[in-house]
Amino acid sequence: MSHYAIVVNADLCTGCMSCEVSCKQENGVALGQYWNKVLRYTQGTFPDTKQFWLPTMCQQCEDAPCVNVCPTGASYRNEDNIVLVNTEKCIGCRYCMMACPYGVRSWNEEIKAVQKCTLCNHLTSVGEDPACVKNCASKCRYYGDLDDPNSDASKALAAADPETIHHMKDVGNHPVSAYILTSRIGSWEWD
Amino acid sequence: MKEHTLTRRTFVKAAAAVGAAIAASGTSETLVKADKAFAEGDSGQEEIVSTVCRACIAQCSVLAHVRDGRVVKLEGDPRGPMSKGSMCAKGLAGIQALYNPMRNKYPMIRTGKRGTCEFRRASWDEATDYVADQLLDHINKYGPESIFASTGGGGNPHISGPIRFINTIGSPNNFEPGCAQCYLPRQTQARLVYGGGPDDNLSIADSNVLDFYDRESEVEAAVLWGAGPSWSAPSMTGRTVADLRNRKTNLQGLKTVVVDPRLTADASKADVWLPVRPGTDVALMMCWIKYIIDNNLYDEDFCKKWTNFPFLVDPDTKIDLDAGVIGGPANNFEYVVYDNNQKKAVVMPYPYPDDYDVALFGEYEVTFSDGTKKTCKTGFQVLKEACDEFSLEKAAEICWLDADKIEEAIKIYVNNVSTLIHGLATDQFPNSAQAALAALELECMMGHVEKPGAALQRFGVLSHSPGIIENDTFGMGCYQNLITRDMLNKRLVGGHNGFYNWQMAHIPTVQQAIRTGKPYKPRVWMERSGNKFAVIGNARSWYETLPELDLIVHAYMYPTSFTIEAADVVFPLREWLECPKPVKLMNWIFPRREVTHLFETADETLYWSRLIEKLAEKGYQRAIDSFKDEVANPGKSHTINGGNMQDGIAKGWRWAYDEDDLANLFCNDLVDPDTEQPMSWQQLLDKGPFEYAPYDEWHQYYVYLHDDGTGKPMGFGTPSKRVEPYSDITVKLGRTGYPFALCNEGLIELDPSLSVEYEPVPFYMEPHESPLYDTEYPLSLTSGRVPIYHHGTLRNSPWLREIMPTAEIWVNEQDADKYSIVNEGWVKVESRRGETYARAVVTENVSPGVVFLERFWNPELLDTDPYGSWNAENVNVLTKNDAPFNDVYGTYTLRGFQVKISPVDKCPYDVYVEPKQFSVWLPQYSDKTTEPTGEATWENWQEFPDDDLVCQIKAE
Amino acid sequence: MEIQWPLAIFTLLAGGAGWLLVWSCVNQLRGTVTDDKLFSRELIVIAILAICGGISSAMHLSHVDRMMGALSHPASAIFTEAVMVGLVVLLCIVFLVLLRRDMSAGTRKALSIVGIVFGVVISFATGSGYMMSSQPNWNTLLMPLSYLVTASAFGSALYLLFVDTWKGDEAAHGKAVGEASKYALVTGLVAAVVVVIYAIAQGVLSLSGEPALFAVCFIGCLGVAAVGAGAGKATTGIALPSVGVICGVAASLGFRCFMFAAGTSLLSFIATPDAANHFFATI
Ligand SMILES: Nc1nc2c(c(=O)[nH]1)N[C@H]1C(S)=C(S)[C@@H](COP(=O)(O)OP(=O)(O)OC[C@H]3O[C@@H](n4cnc5c(=O)[nH]c(N)nc54)[C@H](O)[C@@H]3O)O[C@H]1N2
Ligand SMILES: Nc1nc2c(c(=O)[nH]1)N[C@H]1C(S)=C(S)[C@@H](COP(=O)(O)OP(=O)(O)OC[C@H]3O[C@@H](n4cnc5c(=O)[nH]c(N)nc54)[C@H](O)[C@@H]3O)O[C@H]1N2
Ligand code: SF4
Ligand code: SF4
Ligand code: SF4
Ligand code: SF4
Ligand code: SF4
Ligand SMILES: [Mo]
Repeated sequence: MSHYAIVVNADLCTGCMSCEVSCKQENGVALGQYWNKVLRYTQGTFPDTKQFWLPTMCQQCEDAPCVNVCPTGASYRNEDNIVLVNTEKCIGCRYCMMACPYGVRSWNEEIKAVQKCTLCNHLTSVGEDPACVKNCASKCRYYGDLDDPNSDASKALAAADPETIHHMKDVGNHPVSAYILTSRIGSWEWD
Repeated sequence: MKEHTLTRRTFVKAAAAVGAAIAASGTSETLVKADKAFAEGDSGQEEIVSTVCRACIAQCSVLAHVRDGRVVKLEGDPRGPMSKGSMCAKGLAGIQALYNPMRNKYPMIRTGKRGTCEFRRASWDEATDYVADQLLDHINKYGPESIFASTGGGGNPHISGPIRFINTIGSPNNFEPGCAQCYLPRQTQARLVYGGGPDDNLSIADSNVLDFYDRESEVEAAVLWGAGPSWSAPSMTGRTVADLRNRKTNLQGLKTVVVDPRLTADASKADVWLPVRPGTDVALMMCWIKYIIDNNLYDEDFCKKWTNFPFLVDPDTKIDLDAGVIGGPANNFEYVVYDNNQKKAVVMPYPYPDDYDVALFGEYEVTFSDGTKKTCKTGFQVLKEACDEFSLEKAAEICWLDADKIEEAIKIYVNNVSTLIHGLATDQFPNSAQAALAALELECMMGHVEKPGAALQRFGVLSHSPGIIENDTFGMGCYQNLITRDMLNKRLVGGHNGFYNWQMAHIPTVQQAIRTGKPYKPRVWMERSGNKFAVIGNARSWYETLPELDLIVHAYMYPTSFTIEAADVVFPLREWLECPKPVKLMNWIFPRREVTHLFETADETLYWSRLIEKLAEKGYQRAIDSFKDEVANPGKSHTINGGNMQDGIAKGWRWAYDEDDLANLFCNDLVDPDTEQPMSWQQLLDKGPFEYAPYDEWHQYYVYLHDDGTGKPMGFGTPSKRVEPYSDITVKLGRTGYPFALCNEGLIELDPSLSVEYEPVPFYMEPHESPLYDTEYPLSLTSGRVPIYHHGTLRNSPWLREIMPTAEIWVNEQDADKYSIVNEGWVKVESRRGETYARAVVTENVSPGVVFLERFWNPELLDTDPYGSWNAENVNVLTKNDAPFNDVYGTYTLRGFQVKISPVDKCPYDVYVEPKQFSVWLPQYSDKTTEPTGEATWENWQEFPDDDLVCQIKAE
Repeated sequence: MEIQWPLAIFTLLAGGAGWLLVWSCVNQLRGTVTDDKLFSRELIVIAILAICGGISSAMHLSHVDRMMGALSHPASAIFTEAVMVGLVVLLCIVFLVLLRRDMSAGTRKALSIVGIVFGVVISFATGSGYMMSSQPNWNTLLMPLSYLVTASAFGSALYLLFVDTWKGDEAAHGKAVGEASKYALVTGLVAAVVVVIYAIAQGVLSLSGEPALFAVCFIGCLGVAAVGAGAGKATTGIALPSVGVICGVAASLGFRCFMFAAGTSLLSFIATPDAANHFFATI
């Protein structure tokens, strides 16, 4: 089975916010809502301060709580095993928002449905990269099937020191997205 | 359908009779073609066109998706040799800028008082006529110097427009808020020391340091000195630095030292971060110089052969001894040195003779031709002595650093294939020239000149290079034939002769002249850029100066505080997605296209053309002359040693008649490499981006070693053909204006009464307002880029404002405790000039005693509280524009001055903070019909005009 | 997390209905009060409460019309809850219909047992949907158990109100009130104990704003118990049982609000509004 996801090299990310705006432009995400949010973290005290950015979006959980709680099948996995939302089926119960361990789903006030990162399925399904990956200023976002060693995402992970590869805290949902963060840049707080 | 028809210009007809060139272009063409602001039809067809972003000073290659005439999506073009497919948030916001409901849509003339939103709509013809009448009136009554212009620095694609304008009308004065505070010091000093092209210097933000775009570059380490590429051009310079860092896994690629008071994105990835106290960089640079000399870490071979360090210096004049003074051949690139082999002061021929072993340090007796003897030091000796007090410990104390960290940083610099990248920071305090010089001295000492990995390169000099017209700012091509000796002497530079390089004036001196009438009174302000109040030092001092001015004209894309508070006439200009221009990116040419075009907006060069044309129509001779090819382009270009310093009148280009003419002019002598035929704009569009020279031919190191055709190496573009880190040419610049005092007579000497003394080596100046003495204002404030805004732009972009809705001031936790500041709470910031507000970021990313605040203003207040729009959250009501200035470049103080902070419950102005509030600026594509009322009130400023109002100015 | 009022009210009403059903059915089995008119009134009120709860829950949704889609996802919590509401209402209708005809004792007994089960299950099920791994404060059996016990306190108070205001055989009335007040006393005390255990076990009391909500719940539980204790000694008419019902609402609704307020997801990257409008926000 395939495991498509985004991998972020947080060592390189400069917090430029291009991915946030790319995502909004590509997917028409409304003001005040985000499918992708870049958060800035600082650790330590001056002058030994560390700082890094954590771009956050749907982590494509292997056992996705959002899909599990959804009463209508609006949150589902497509044939490529990608977690998506069919807003036409969404009844707006927002249980999935409560169930997502990372708070990466957003409520679209206008269509009254829940939405989230689609991995730019409309682009990726025709062989393009997601908008945020294309425009990323530091070229530190990689997309692809983690089961395919030739995907950009797999290659980025293969190139990194295994000790620097991290995932979001797993509470049984098995997040698939991965981050690269070297301890010189920051300590991973989300295991 | 209403049509604002412009009768075929009478002037063009008259001129056509005179000049064949004009007749050739005198065909009937439209002035402004406009696309509809809404989609035509609903074909759903998407076209992808390639263009080039200009939302900041980088120029990233872009693919614009256009559906039914509307730009619907932007993305990076993977072919871009510098951006490689990336595109930053500012560039992406281009769509929101283009279709912003607040665009200036047609010319407007003020009907109410300044400070109100009362304007009426005017046609281009009426508005230019109105302005031209007043210009002529002033020229006749008070002379052309009663008119001055100003422009924006970064982001403006044709920064030369206003210079061409003032040169045409005969005024000496144009200014730009960057200039002395941005790039002029670093760029000019590099021209003087290195003599490369206008963009061959240490500034990465200005699209130099091109070796870094080569993944194979040998560079191993870089010092980012007051530069933040990751935020000042995320998708271009930031991208490439990230790429180099990532050449080896887990940031094992490029090593970096970052000298910056705040922990920027780049600093947070650095191997060594030196959080220097704002404004003290020169002490640190001089410490590096001393350390490298004391520990013999410099490149001795390069210093001896290719720098002027060994030249002996006349102690009285401070000038290098030309061989002529001891009876050798004069002005033949030969200088007096002390040769250790011959054990005496001798003439050193060019190039360096192998049997010489020149002394780099020491003082030696020299016998002049007239028999007098003087003890002369080498240039390196003079520099060494100047730096002598700056030990590691001393620098650590001045700069609030750790001596061991400084040493660690220097070791990274000297022990690797490295280079020093010099950012904007030091251009923003009065020690600017000295910092620029010291940085170049470091690179010269280390031999980091035209070698692999070095920032200083002259790529392209040896390959074919097309003569497209780029940003022909920096001292070139702006109607030098129209500049008189008198204009040069009258220029308001305030004794800061560095301004002659860019043909610009010193802002505080202009202001002083307006206020006092001395030496004459400027009365009309032609301003072309965004919000001057947001970007100019001590903005309130300008607010107070406004009543002295008879006429203020503002040309821009949106109303800003300046429009409402100052402008009497407003002209609508184009966004970058509407401007055509060929762009050179390394060995490529990319066309920036007119992807679409809305309303009655004009390309800014055409805007100036229109005004000049009106003046010509009304019989103003200089304006008439300026349309003549032989005046614009005298074809007498001369440069010093094939470098970029001129000693003659530069080639230029005439004003354009219309859009197509302009686009073709920009192509100048662009040649299609396939057909070897000159290319028109249309042919360029058809061809699309192309390589004008093969990469390997273009990318060549050691240009100076290349044969100059006589069997000798080319050398550098300086008077001595060596790099000149002992900068006696700077001394000459002060005394005579050499080599920048250029006018229609060629290179002249300025009036002797204007002579000033500059130093050939750096010296340290403690910031004038200093935390060492200031008890009332205890904190040192500095600024620097945030990645999502360019200068004063884009505060009306919903996508960007929701990310950063307010100004943010960084305060260290200790200071936050001391002054009761809470994270994310509002803070009042006060300096000796004024007060403003920002939200606090309580952080360990700055030192105690230092705060950071970047520029901001609030378009949401333009109609209800225009004063608040530029006072609510603006660092530039705090900054300092009075003396001391930098001696050479007149730099005032934007960084490293003193403030105090206190908590407040909320911002006293009614600013937007919530994302939803910004929806008022979401793109509007409307098809509703509104009758023009003839008055441009705030409401109909925001109206999105229908088809009828979209400009259809047509020639008969 | 923000208090989701429609959901809180839904679970309040459904749970209350469930436990009114429990005690009414218990009474059917024990035969203390044999007045079918009272039973009918109880059943009607149970059905109304359940239906109102359902409506309240539907108000939380933005596309009720798409509810049918849920049929294909019977495992989801919202589906179980909807089914339970439907079953409770159906049971009430069946009972009411059979009461009009002559219902056999066996049927009455069987249906009563079903009613007791339904009542307990619905009060538990409305809480169990919130057990999710991403909400550590909710992800414990103590949470639906607290739903159950607070619903039982509320339901007991409702039942007490019914029998106390019942005008019938005096002896039976006294006995019924005695039983009902014992239910209230016991469920109130049990609820108080369980919610305290939940709060302590999850360590949620320290979170800001929640102690007040917890106090409302806790005092409500004790209030039900106190009313139970007081009502057992004297027939008091409508006043004291009404206070009991108010305490029951406080116990049950208070707990639900408390639980929402204690809901903090494991990580909340995008949903945290603060980080969304401060560019250099220090995290
Ligand atoms: N306190 C403080 N003050 C500063 C600085 C600082 O760091 N701190 N920085 C200084 C520096 S370095 C500079 S360069 C100045 C900048 O100050 P300015 O250059 O005056 O700033 P803007 O007005 O924003 O910039 C020029 C304008 O050109 C516009 N432009 C872009 N594309 C086009 C186009 O195609 N056509 C036309 N007509 N216009 C276009 C942009 O929208 C932009 O508004 O500010 C200086 N001020
Ligand atoms: N996003 C964005 N990009 C821009 C621009 C913009 O406005 N916004 N403007 C463009 C223009 S015109 C220019 S000139 C370039 C400038 O680009 P850069 O040269 O990168 O300039 P800054 O980021 O302003 O300044 C560099 C760093 O200097 C630090 N600094 C402040 N005070 C001192 C000091 O006293 N000493 C030292 N060593 N460092 C100090 C600041 O914290 C900042 O990080 O950016 C260009 N690109
Ligand atoms: S809000 Fe929509 S997507 Fe989420 S669980 Fe409910 S129906 Fe499914
Ligand atoms: S991260 Fe959240 S939205 Fe994405 S699959 Fe996991 S639970 Fe669902
Ligand atoms: S993959 Fe697409 S939807 Fe997901 S964060 Fe990136 S741009 Fe947004
Ligand atoms: S675009 Fe890339 S570098 Fe910029 S914030 Fe997003 S992930 Fe980081
Ligand atoms: S760095 Fe950003 S704003 Fe500047 S040219 Fe590139 S895309 Fe445009
Ligand atoms: Mo600048």
